[in-house]
Amino acid sequence: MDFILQVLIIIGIHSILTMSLNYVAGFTGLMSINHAAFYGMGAYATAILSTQYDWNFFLTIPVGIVIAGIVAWLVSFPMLKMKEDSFVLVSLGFAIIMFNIMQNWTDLTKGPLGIKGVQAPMLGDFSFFAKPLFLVLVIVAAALTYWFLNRILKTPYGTILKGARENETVARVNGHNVVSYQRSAFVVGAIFAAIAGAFIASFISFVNPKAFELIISVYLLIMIILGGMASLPGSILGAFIMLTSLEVLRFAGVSAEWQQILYGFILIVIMFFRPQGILGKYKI
Amino acid sequence: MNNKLLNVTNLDVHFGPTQVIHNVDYHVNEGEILILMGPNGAGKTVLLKSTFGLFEKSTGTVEFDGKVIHPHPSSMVEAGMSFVGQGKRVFPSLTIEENLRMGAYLWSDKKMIQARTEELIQFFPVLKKKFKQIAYYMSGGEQQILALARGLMMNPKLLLLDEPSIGLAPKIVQSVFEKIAEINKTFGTSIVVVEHNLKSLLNIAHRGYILAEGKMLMEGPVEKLADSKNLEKVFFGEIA
Amino acid sequence: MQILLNGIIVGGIYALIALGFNLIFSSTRFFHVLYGVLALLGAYFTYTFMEYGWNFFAAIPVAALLASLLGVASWQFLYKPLVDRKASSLVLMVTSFGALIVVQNLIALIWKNNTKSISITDTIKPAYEFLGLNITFNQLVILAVSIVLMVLLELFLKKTKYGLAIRAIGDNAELTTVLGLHTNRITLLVFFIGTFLSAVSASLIALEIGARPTHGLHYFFLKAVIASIIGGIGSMRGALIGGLLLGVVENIGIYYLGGSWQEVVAFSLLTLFLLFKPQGLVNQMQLAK
Repeated sequence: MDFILQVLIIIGIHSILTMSLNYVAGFTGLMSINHAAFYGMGAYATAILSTQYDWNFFLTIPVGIVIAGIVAWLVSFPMLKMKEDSFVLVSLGFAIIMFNIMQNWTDLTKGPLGIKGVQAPMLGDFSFFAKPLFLVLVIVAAALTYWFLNRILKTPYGTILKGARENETVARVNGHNVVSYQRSAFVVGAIFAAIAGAFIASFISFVNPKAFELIISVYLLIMIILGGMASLPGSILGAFIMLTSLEVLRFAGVSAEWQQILYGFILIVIMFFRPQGILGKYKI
Repeated sequence: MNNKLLNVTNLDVHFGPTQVIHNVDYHVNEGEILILMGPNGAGKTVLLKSTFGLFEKSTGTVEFDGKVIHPHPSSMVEAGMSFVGQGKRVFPSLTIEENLRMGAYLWSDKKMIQARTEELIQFFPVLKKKFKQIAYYMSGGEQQILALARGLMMNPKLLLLDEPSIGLAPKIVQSVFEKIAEINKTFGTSIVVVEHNLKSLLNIAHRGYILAEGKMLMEGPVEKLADSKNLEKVFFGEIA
Repeated sequence: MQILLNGIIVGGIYALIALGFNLIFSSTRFFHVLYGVLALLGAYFTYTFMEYGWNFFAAIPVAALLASLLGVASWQFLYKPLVDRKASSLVLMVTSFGALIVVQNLIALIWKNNTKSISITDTIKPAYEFLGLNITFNQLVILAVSIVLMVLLELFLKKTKYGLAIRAIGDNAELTTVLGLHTNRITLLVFFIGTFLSAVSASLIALEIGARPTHGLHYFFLKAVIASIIGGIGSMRGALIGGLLLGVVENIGIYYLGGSWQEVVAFSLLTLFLLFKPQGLVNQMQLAK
């Protein structure tokens, strides 16, 4: 039972990640492969502030958001100048740079050793340490994410975002500053990734760079491509399928390498037979 | 001049679900210059390209030089057809000489290629001047001439030209068309031209077709088609 | 000056990797991410042959040949079916990523995750001195082979019919179809040559850095892409200049900042170029909007 709660919590946190990534990649059309970098920023913000300065968990979240948001805003300038495929390359580059910073800026992040002892969320004397309570917190966060992103996408702003994904020229000709729409979507995506990061830091109570390396971003992308591009339910589905299958494989003793081979293979198969994913509405 | 060098019958072309060419028949007589004209979007370029095999979703029969051929660029080139399209007409980073050599890629005899190249740069003196230069630095008109010369490298019986005047200044257009007429006279090459710029072309062409909305509307000698009343009807939509 | 020399020697390898990458990119117009891992596979094959007692110089060509066959197969069986279905370049790139994950992990399974090293001779040879600069035996070999390969490639592209066709496809692929060429044959050739060059380069640089599964993406592919973008993607000259420049700047960076920041230096250089000169130094294709 305890184990199931653990898996559900991980799925919940990843749902926030996949929904926010889908917002950027599926709905806005920016194939970002650096999502884990913002995930890491949120995690490190929480880890550093709560272990070294005794901040309350809930107060660390805004800090993570601000940091991720600002970095996303800055990085979007060179990134959004690129055409589709080259965007992916720059995104890749940024992901690697962020990872390097996490690894090498040891004064701040303690490098590969990581930061231990991140506390569970507390409200006054009430602690969310117990798994059922933590799960409730995560579900609330995920639900809010779903609600928020869904609402945005239903507004005229959201329509323009999706329109720009299909045909930038048409959108531009209609007077919309496409780049600023894309930038704002990218920043929003980063913000929610940071929120997810705060939760993972608290749940695992340990952060280190390896949790935010490139392959994690690729996993997230596989999750949304599988579950469905441009579909919020699809994002949750993708996270669910991949994470539960991960547990099943691990239980069956399948090595990490074979797990990855399976996911690589799934990616290829999806591209060949159903590029929009299971519930998806957008084909790349 | 009444041998049908090219005979296309029952041509249908689809772009996805939309049909863009509807059951078109046309033919090219040996030794003639044929124009395909019509308003924008009529399908003239599509017609030309599908004859050459550049669209997969086309059905119909193409008979060239007495043989039925399934349209595919390499088959057409081997059979003696040549296509010069609009837009990016040359290989910018290759020299003029290399551009011409590409026109005779299917030939393996180096001497033959060299002799033909010599012949063509005599015929198009502007190419002689810049022979070793790369095509990137040529003007639009010069590039069109280069494309024409390249199209003639393998001594084709039939030359298909898609809007050769596009993007060129009027004076240059005139000289290009004069060259086209000269090609027809000197080498005996039959030529099909898709064009908008009718005035200059009407002087050198023999026969033409008018297309609109993917259907063949009118056919006849150039004088009949050039009659302004007919053109008006086509371009301003009276003939259905 | 020593830094410059070191930079040029490793830059030569970067240039070769970028040349192969550019050859493929010019003809196919998508980012064949798998490229780096296939190059790495070449290095691993070399390592394995040498474990069986082969001489370094005998192992490399055979290893590169094997890798090249896989490269050709990747076009024919992985990419071409998608291209025939009019898949976008993004789909091809994502598929390539999937294949990369598969191959990289197969490498990790077969050869394990630790770094494998290769050396040409059993004894450590002393460095040579030349005009006041040090050059090791390995570096000499790397330099010599790089130069030979580059010259051969140049001759091939400029003087042979297939070389002409390859250059033509890079310029205007549509036009080559119109001229009756069998473009698929040429694409296969391009994949062969590109992969061969990268595999040889990978084996050579393995003398210095060994072989590790993560090198495929994080080293070979990234170097190829960064060098190509700096030099001007789609251009042979650009790949050469980009590679050398990258090598030199990196070495300068390592000297002043230390080795762990190597990737950051490389990527910062990339970002600068993408911001201010996205078409690269040799001005051929545009990657920016």
